[in-house]
Amino acid sequence: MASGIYSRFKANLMNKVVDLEADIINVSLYNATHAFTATDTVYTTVNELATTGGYTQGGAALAGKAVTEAATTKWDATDLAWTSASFTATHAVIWDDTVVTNDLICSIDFGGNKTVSSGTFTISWNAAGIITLA
Amino acid sequence: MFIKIGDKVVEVNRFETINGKQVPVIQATAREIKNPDGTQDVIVDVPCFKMGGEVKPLQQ
Repeated sequence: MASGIYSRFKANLMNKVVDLEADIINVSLYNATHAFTATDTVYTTVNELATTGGYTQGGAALAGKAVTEAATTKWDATDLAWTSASFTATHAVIWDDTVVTNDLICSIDFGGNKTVSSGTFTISWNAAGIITLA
Repeated sequence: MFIKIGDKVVEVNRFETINGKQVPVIQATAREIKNPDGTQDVIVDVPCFKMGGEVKPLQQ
């Protein structure tokens, strides 16, 4: 189990393919079978949670995306929440829905199955940002 | 073991060697909160992904 940034995202930064402020960036939830592999390239529904219990395949779009320029430049967004939710998730994957091929950005390991029951499933981004570049 | 990254405490179960350095394999910290009405919420605290490198002068 691990979290990490996909190599495709690093290449997309250098090739001016991804715009973390203007693009539609989605967060999808996955089950325990999903595993982070840095060389994976594009979004897939394999091992993604099914459309039920308040979750819709494809995930939810990030709002409030902002890049703050500094010696350590950060990318941040508004925390994400699924309400009236009943499902179990183990990973989240952030991917670019504007890029035609739906390229991957990063994968987050929750450290095990996390079950929400008729409640709210919240992903709280770090105060330092989702991704920083120093 | 637990380490602090930014304002979050995250659990580290294993380390990987990258460029000769031991780097913790990071995972988020998630809490399941049982409410009095029988519902259950989840809050996932995600550590910041840090991309960067060390710039060194070229060897003559």
